Amino acid sequence: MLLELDDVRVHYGQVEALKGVSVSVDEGEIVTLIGANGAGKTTTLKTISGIRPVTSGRIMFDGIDITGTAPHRLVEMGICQAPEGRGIFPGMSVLENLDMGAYARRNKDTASDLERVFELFPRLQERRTQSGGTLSGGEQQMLAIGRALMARPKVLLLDEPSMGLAPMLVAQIFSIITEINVQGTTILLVEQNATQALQRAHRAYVLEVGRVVKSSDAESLLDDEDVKAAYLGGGRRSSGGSAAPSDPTG
Amino acid sequence: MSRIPALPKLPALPRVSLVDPLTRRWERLPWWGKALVLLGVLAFAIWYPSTLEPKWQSVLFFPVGVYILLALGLNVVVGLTGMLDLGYVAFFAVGAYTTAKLTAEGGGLTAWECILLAVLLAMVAGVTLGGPTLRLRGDYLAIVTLGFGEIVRIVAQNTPSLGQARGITAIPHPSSLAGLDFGIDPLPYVYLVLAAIVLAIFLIARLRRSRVGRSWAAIREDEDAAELMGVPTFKMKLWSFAVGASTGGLGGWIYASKVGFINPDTFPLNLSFLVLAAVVLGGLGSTPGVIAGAFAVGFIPEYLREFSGEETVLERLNSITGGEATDINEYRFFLFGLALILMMIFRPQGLLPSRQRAAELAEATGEQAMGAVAGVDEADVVAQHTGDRAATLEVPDDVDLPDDFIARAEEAQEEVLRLTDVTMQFGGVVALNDVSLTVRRGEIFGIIGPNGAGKTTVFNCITGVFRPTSGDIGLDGVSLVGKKPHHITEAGVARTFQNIRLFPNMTAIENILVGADARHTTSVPGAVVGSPKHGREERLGRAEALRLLDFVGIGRRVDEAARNLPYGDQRRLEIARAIATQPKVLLLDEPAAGFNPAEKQALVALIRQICRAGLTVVLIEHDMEVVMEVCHRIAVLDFGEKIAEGLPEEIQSDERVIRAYLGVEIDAP
Repeated sequence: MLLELDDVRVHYGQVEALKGVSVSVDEGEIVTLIGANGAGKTTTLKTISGIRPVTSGRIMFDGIDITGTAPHRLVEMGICQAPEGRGIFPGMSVLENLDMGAYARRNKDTASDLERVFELFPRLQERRTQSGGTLSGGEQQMLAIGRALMARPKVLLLDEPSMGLAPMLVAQIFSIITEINVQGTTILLVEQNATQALQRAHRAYVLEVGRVVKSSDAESLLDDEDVKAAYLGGGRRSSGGSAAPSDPTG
Repeated sequence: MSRIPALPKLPALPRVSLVDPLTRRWERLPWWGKALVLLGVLAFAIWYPSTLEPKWQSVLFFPVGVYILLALGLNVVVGLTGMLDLGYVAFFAVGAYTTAKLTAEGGGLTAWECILLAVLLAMVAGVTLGGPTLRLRGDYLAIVTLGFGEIVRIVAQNTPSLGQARGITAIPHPSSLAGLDFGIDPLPYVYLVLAAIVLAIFLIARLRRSRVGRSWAAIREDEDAAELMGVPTFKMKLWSFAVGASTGGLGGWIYASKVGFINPDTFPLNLSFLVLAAVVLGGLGSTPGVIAGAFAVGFIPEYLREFSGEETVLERLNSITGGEATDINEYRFFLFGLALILMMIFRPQGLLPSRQRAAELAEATGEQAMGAVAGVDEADVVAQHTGDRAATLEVPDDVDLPDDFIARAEEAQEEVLRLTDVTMQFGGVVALNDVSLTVRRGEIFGIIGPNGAGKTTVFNCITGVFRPTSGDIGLDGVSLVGKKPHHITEAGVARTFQNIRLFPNMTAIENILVGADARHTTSVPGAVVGSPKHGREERLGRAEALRLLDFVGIGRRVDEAARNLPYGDQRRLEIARAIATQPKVLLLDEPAAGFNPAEKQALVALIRQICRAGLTVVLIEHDMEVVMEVCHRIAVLDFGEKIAEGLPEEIQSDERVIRAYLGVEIDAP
């Protein structure tokens, strides 16, 4: 396993937010965490990237115990997060933002990485001198993902990449996620758009109130009655008409 | 890859937990219990100084008493309103010089006659400084006030009629009053400053509990959101400055009439920082806190002066620092600075922190480091684990929107909101190009389009955040262009934000009251004296706010801090806060973002209910299921231009819309 959380507990003050979460991600996989608001999905990502301290339990990465390691070290080691809400540097240009992504790398030859990011997101190339704060929501999301890629991560943590995006962009972002994965980056994905996430992922975990209540290959969760009712919007509507556009790339 | 060792964990810092249980116990007391405690404290404050030697009575007057008074005033500006003022001593100086000039050297007035003038002139100084500078924020404002503090001192230093460096001497004492003989004996002055402190506490407490105090808190929490909820932010910041300045002026009057002489050295820059240190040390925004802080800042250095083990401590300090001080007094500020640093490490929230301040610091634990949406996930987690399941999913059908909120909406004209050829340019970028829209009374009007198409810019133009480059926006036939956001809110437009912008450390009901205050008219003096209108508005506002919380389905969360609400409830609260301004048109910016399907269904129900009650809704949303289900009509923007407008089914089959936005045709719900 590339990344493995073993019985991880996390507290906010007195409140236990993760009550012993065990999640593993194998090299080359897309794994997704789904669940309601407040189930602990974002907390799990923040814990992996070292922003939330662990109360107990262990996080292994590439055979090394990384519990309690500082976030910037984890980036050096190959764990990089594109945070929810994007967190781009608004006063810096697109290029400067991308350069910041490579900040932790020893090898500063970033030309080929820039090329790769611009290939994935041609829009960013058009806007490379524009300051991050003036980008549209979709462009900011692209920039956040692109910036994370500049660190050449082994594992890319994505927190709600489709939030606030137009339907067409949602489809586009998800196909790019697949593309990044095919190019060799392991991905741990948190999404409210569970249908799309499950269609893209290899495996999935369902979180409820700080616990993993279900884990399985993604495809079978798509047909799981409980999951359908709770997270896929199924069972509530007679026509079952889903607004999520089907994937244009197949 | 080389193994990177984990950093050793820092030991948890010890927590000073003595005072917190006391605070909690205080909060649980009934009103008469609190009154008894306060009377007891007052009785002690009257009795105790009389038992002291005159020397300590002097210390109680200055620095202790005067510092407390100044700290209370500065706390209004820094603690309550969140504006950093580094030149507060200027107002103290204005009060003192006014008194000196008008009473000494043939000024002609008695000290008592001068008191109002000293306070008023300090207030004028505050408004004079504030008028041109309060548009600045944060660091800039701090530097401007720093400069102002110095200017006042330097003007005094160089103005012959103010005595230049010599200052003004022979300032007369006040005449006897109420059996207190103001002469050389310090005790009467202790009572004088005590009276001033009690008065200041009382008046500031009245303001805090009124719409004035709420508007200050809202400005502190999120100034832009406050303006958009109808708070005249500039005016309220000016009032904050004026109230703070007048307290400083009162302090100046008391000081000058007791001490009898002043010169520019009485008002060093240093004093501004000491008073600020007192406010921060005691607890920003907390009245008992800043009193304790000012007491510590004033008293500890004096106490150290009298330290019994003086000789040995002095020697030890000399040997540590390699100094050759002959008096421990020379180390006063060294020790004091050390105490401040230690205090800020171990109890950054201050001695007796206010609720808001404590919450803010709890928040600053690296959560913001990656720019995540402020605390949303955390709030959810906390809410869920404290016994509440996720966000409210039901809208109670039996609670109607109170009539008060829809009264204006029903008076609206048939075409309530109209945009005519609105163009918005930022530099060379055209964000909106000749956009025209008409929103009819009582409908739900959707605006959709790709990211960056200009949807939120439309809202920002309507609400006055941006002034359109050309074109007109009319509400009920009256143009909104060029009006300030709070005027537009008063005129009847309210909004929510894409990234929730509640006042996070205010409670749910306080958030709504800020919105409701947009319709209230109690003035600052009215709030101070507690006019009947003030009482009526407060009662009415609270009752309405409670009903509104019920209406959006979060009635059981009245007194919870907004930041602790689950994500979904935060969105509901934001909608309720907007409705509280009694809008004709309600603008919702991506209310379904981050919702799962169940939460979206609940939102759809809520929006329908708002519409049924008679409000007009304009909705920006990416979730097509929500849009197609609730909207009566929809406009589509792309690259700042309207490319389509029509009924949901027309939009869904419009070739241009599909190409630009939808990607594929979707089924009608």
